[in-house]
Amino acid sequence: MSFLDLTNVRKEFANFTAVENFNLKVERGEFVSFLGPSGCGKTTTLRMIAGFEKPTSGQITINGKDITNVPANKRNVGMVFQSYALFPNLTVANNIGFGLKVKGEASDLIRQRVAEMLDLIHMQEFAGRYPHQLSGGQQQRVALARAIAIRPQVLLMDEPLSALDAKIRINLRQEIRAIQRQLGITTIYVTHDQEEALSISDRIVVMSKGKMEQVGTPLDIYNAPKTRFVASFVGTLNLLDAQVTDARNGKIKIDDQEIAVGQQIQNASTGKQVSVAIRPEAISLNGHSSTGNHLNGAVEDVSFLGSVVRVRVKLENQHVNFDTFNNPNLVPPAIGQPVSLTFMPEACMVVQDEK
Amino acid sequence: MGAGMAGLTTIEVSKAEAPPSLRRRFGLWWSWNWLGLLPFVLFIIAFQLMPALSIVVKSFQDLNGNFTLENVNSLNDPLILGAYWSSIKLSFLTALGGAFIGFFVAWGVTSGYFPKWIRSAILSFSGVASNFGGVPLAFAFVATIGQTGILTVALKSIGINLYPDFRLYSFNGLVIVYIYFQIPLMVLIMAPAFEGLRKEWSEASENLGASRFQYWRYVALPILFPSIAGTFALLFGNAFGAQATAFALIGGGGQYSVITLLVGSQFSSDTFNNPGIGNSLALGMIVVMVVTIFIYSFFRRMSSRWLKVGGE
Amino acid sequence: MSRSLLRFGWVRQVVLAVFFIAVALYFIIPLYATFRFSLQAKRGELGFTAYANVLQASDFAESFSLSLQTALLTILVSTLLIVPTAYWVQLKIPRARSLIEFFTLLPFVIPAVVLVFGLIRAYNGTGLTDSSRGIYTLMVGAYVTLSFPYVYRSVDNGLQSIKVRTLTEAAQSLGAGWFTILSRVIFPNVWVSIINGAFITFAIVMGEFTIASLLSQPTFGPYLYQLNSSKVYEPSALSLLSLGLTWLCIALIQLLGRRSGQSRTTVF
Repeated sequence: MSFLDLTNVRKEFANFTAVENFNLKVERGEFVSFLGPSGCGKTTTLRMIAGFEKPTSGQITINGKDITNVPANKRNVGMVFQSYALFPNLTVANNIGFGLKVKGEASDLIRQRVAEMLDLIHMQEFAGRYPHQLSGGQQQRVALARAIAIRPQVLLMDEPLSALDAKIRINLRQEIRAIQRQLGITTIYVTHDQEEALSISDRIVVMSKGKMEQVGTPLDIYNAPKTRFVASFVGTLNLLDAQVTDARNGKIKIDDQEIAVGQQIQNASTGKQVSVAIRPEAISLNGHSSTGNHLNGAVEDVSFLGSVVRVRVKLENQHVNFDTFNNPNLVPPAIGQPVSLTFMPEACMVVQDEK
Repeated sequence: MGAGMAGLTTIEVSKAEAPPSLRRRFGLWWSWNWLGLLPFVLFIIAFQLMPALSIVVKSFQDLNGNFTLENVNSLNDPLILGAYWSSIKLSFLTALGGAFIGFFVAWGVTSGYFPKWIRSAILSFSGVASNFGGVPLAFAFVATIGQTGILTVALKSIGINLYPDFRLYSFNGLVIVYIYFQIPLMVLIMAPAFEGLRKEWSEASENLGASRFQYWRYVALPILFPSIAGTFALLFGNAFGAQATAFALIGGGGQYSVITLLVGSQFSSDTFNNPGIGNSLALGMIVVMVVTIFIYSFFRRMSSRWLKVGGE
Repeated sequence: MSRSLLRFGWVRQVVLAVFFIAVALYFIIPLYATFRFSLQAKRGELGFTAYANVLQASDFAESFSLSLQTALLTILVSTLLIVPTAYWVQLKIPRARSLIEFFTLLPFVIPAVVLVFGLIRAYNGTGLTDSSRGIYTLMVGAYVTLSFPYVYRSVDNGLQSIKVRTLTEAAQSLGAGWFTILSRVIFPNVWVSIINGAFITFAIVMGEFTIASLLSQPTFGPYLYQLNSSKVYEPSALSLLSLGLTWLCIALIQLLGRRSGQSRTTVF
């Protein structure tokens, strides 16, 4: 039995549908991310779990109890907001203890729990400070502690790191994940940053325009995207237009060059227009492999990204990006140089959904 | 305007070994740019500081220019002290009433309680009504609860007689009338403060299990408190310094004189046989207003510190 | 939001509704009473006789135009003083902002009646208090300082929102001289704030009574007061007209503000 259940959840506003057909079963202690661009409905869904929006239809259950109509302040789900939402008139300690105080807990208990939380986020010396005296990262940690202090059944996080600097973001997300693992709280995490989602989630729900595009582990989402949207949104990707030449043997044609995709192409016949996705890291330059695919083109641009060098190659009508590790001993290709790109058939993913 | 002035910031060459002397610190602080403020500052001096200074100085001078405490001591007159006390009572009561009622109206405007068209109507009306005063306002109330006012007549017809117990030209009348411009002032100033209450605070509090009452008690009211207190001070000062409305309603020296009327009357008559007393009367008013403004500034600084938090 | 509305018990709903209706009545009834009274000039019937009398009176035209002229003069002087000062402060001496703000708060500390008193005492014998021109100057000067809080706040906010320092530096780097910067870059972006302050000043000056009457200036405020002791119905008509005028100013401010997208000035 899953811990958090969303069944056929749908949310309509006056003139558009924000979320439809949302079905998800989350296990206890699982960390699930909702990933997608702005406006895809991820935050709306989160807010429905929190109780700030009421579903137009559908059901939300936590631990067997139907909470669809339970008011927000009775659900015992902890929420961390994008803008931290710390109460400016309360100290860090009083912010963290707020949920317990309004529940009427004894002050000893509150003090103890607050101390525990401060320990957890490593901010023991900050107990008496006020939010305006803290940095963004510190405020977010306090917000997290405040949400956890009430021992919520489910922890909800709405793009908690998007207002922070890149370096802090990376450190903090690892901290969040560590705390979550330690405490075993079922967590829903909303983000538009696919790297973030990939690095810390048990499972990811990719959403677009109110619909679920795909649900799976980070590995699944990245290596086996089911739709064109997922393929292009998650990770960098080459998405090339191709035509099926031999469906049974898995052969397609890109700009008059034929390549093999290593498996039968389902639901296709010769001549069908499809898309093929190839990850940049799967491609190498001028390799000599008899079983691999070759695509010929000319170098158009070389970008130095630090540990990785990204090269853009022009085929007849399309572009391919490929990555290679920065090697000080090798000379990167010159612009205009004709090259041959090599990649294994298995690295190709044929994507056939509607554009 | 000093268009050609470069941004020089120091004029002193310092001796590297010596600790920063007073002259040197002034040198680091001074910038020729300050001269650009001269026209404005001169104007302020001419039309604000000079008059104020003259009042302060002349309060301690007799007719020949010698130092004296006579003027200040003369304030110890029952009529004068009564006027000060009346003004303070009036200002306090109307500030309280205006703040209380205005608080709820401002809440109604910003919380979505009122539909959109009422919201903007209230705000524009507040802009106008906060400026309302003097003869027009006095007259409006005479027409309403004066001896032959429409409300008086209407109440009489159902058996309630306001008169002769109630008099509009009295302290109570002033309270009723003053509140007419105190409430809108409170609304105008508090509406932005209410808008500063971020929706996330209300949601976070709800999420943590608090009821609406607990939210207001532990979060919203404490956050709004500096704004409320500061605006209260402003309302107090507003009523304390008002002359036109009192003059229109009571005239130049009725039984319930307020301090502004007393000061004003010093222009035409010399009721106290002491031409210098006008100065000390005015001085007393300035003292009260200075205290009020201090309170106002104190709370204003507190609220701006808090409301700058988080995510912005 | 309707969501929070549902959280109230019905008792609270009723109390709130009654409260707000009472407040609304408190504000509307006196206005209605004035209006009704103003229509009763002709015995037995309701009409606009009082309004006609008011507008046709020569005294009215004189006092109104004097107030008008004073208001425009005040706006002119105030704007010419405030705008460059606010600009200069933002550009060159940001530290001075709190000092300037303090100065603009002085009119609150020194109420009108005290100000007039002080002006007469301070300039007694300097010639300003002897001639009517001099007294008029004092009055305008007082009005200008009275307008400072509003005009400064408005212009300062306007300058803040357009990041005046960056704009100036950008213009300078493109070779613009001071005059060009002021007229082509700063002014077009700030004129709404100036108009905003101008309208508030206009409303204040037109209705001002204390200073004008104590300085014996025949402006609109004292005229209205005198009318009260001589006529019965005309004062109420004039009161409503003056109220209407103020409302017009405020409405125009809001209209302008909405059109240009600049937000309303806040005091707190």
